Amino acid sequence: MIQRKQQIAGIALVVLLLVLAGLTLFSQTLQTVLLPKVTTAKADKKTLTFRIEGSGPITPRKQIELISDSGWKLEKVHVRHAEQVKKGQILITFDGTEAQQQILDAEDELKKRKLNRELIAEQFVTAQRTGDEGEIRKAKRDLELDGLDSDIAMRRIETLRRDLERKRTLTAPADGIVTNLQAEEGRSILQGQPVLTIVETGEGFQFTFTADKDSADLMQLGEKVLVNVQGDKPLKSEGTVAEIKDATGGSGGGSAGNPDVDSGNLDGNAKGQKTIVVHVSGDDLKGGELASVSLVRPFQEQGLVISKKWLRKDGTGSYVFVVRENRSSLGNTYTVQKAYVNTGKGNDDEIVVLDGVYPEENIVTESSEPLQEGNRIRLN
Amino acid sequence: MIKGWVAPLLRSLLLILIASLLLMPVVLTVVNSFMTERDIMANYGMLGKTDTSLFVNLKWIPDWVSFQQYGEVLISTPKFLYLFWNSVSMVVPIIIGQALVAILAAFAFGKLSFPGREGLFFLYLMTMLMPFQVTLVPNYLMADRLGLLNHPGSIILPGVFAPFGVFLLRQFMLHIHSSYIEAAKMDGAGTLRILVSIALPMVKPGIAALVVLLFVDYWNMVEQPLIFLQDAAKQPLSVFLSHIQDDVLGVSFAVSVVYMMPMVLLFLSAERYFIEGIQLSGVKG
Amino acid sequence: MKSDTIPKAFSRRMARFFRSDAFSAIGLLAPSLAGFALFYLIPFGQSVLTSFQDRLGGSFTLSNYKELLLSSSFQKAASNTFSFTAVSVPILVAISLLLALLLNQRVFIRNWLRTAYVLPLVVPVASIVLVWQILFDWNGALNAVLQQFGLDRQDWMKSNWAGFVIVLVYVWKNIGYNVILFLAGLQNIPDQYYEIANLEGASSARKLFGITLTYLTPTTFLVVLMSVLNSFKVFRETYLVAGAYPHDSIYMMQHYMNNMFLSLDIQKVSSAAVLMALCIMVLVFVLFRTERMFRSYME
Repeated sequence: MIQRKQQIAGIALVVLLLVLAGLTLFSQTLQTVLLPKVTTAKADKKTLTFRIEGSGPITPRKQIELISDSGWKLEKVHVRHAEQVKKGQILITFDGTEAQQQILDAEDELKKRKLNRELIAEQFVTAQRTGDEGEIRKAKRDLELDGLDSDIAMRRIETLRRDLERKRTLTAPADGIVTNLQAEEGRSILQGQPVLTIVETGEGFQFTFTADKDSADLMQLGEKVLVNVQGDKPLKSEGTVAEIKDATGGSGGGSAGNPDVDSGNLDGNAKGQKTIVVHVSGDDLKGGELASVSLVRPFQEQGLVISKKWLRKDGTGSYVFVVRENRSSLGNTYTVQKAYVNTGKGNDDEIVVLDGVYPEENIVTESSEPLQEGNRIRLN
Repeated sequence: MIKGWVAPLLRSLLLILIASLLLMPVVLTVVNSFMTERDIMANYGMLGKTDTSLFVNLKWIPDWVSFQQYGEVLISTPKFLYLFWNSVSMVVPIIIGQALVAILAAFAFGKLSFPGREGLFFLYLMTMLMPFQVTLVPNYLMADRLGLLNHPGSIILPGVFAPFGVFLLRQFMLHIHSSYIEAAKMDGAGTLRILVSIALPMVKPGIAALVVLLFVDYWNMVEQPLIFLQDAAKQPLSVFLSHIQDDVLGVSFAVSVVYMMPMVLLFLSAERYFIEGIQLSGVKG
Repeated sequence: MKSDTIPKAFSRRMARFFRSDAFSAIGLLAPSLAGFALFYLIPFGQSVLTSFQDRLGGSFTLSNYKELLLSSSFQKAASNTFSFTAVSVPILVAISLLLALLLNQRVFIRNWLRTAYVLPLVVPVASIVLVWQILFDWNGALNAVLQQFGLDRQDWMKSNWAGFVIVLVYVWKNIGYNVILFLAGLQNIPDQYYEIANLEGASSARKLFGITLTYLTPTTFLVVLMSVLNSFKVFRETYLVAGAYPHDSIYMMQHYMNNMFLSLDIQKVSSAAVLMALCIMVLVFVLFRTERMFRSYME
């Protein structure tokens, strides 16, 4: 009995030690078999940058449309398209024949009136001679009326003359470049129609593009930006953000700068779109060139940056699996845990996490098996 | 007739009652090692917490038998096994070393006469009687000088040269009748020859006893590693078990069982030698 | 001639020496002695020296001892250890003697019972610590029982009850050891003594006190000595149950030494070790003396 007890105990001891030895040798292998393997990375503390792109045709900041106010025929066009003109330079001479005719008519009318006046003066003299009080008064009144009439006629002539003088020529109101030249010699332009446009080069150029609100928020008024101009020859110019305003549906040139947002989605959605006006200065600009900006901006929301691929979603929201190290005196074990995150903005592959993860946390990037909350894992 | 039968039974029952009280902690540990971690936490999770009015729920029978703890300890967390082998790797060299050194010295003390024998043996005896708090100081000083601190050698070497083995085996050697040795001497056998072919077979039970007693002693050691080994990874299971309660309460019963099992089994398989050793030495355990 | 005989005699003596026990003994003792000296004797001698040395100059001084004896934590540790030993050793010896006496009579499954009593001795303390905590924690099983009987619960490990708990653990652990020793002692009492007593018609009580306990006295001395020595080991239990800084009532010499160790106060540790060694030596000396006196009285 006793002997047997001792034997059993001895065998059990040997078996125990062998089992423990075996387990020790294979524990690494067993772990490999039993636990999902994961790769981890830490959230980046970098500032996530965002690319804003937009383009639009360059337009002058200030241009003056000269309008035909007479409807006269054009006698002479002194300038060509795109010609540089100085303030006061005569641009176009109109054919003033019609007006001159009117003046001549009026002058003749006046002459007729002078002749008529002599008659009235004679009647007055006659009336005085007769001494008839009534006759005298009437003749005197006639004389005064006539004087007034000829004053009016003379003023009219004067007006016509000035008018002719003014309308005869079209002069440049400011230094600039002639564009949109409609005038052709020999043709007439209807009253109120534009004849040509003077672009005031001294005032610079601008271009406009729309961008979604998020990117627009990253820009500031008065901010300097680099503008690429594709004209006859490509050139770079400095621009200034002059205006950021709510886009009125569909207006504004250029394209939205955010590749992240489906522009169709937000088109016409005034809340999402902003029109940005950029002033461009540059002597070589003429207007009409295609200008584009490409800005790299840090996000205003500063947080940790993670790859979008790490994010998973469930009913509660977006989360990442983070590795929790369970420090125990038995050895550290690792489990994964869902960490729900508040994400901010992101670009193509990265996104800002506002809260939910800490800088030192290991975030699961890849795993050999689908993970669930609380799974024990093996770190790669 | 009945009287002669009743008294032993009553005595036996009383002794069994006391024995079961003594075994209670061991049984409780073993039984609880088959509970799930969840059960353990539910029953004992409030240990050491002052912010709860819950009491532990002493469980004698698990709701269901589970090997979860063992799986956790033996398979999922290799560190436990490493510590286990830490213990083994300190205890085994000590036992082998001390047995070898002690056999030689014990034979000299027990069976050879030389001047200063009694005085020298008295030194061994007194040192053996010293509580480890006293011997720890010289051990520490020497380990420090030899640059052994934080190295298992700082525990193994003093263990190998501890005087207990010499003392215990001398007790066994004394029981060898001198006539055997005299006879061998007549045949012209050298001392070493006598030791190996006569004394050694006769003190086998003594060696067995020494092995068991040393195993019990060093498997249990807490103080030496606590002081000599700063590095937690080098410490044996015994030290580690002392701060197990908080963080791995759920598996600590299984850990305890695995830790006590080799000793219990060794004891059961060599109980005779163990008891003989204690009776003969009357010292240490 | 003369110059010839001396080497001859010398070589003869040498030859005899080589064949003598003494030479063999040196060879056999060499490994043990070398290690023993290296790890125990020399450094202990050194720590004795250190204990008398000034912290800075190294000159002879008793200030380490003075400082030690005046230190309140040492006093506390020493008195706790002393009172613990004074209380626990008699309890342990009495219980184990009782058990051994019972076990030495006709009982069933004696071997199994003996195994059961000895088992706590081999169960690693660290394995069982958890059970002690379950029993004696503030939320522990003992308090749960007390609560059921409508009694106030106790913070066993953090009150004066801690000493009681430690005594319990100590008894649990060491009972088997003493039972083994007592059983051996009991079996060494020749059966004839009892037979003679039976013939003389002595009562059981008379047999117990006249024969059993009397002839068990040498064993008892040994048991007491071992119990005292083992009581120093109770640090292990206290440390594991209560940590490095337990409740005041169980702050033992061992804690003191341990904490001094960790603060690397070698002077203090050395002097404490020397003091402790002295106490043990005195204790052993006294016990052996009384045993010898007792023996000569018996004969």
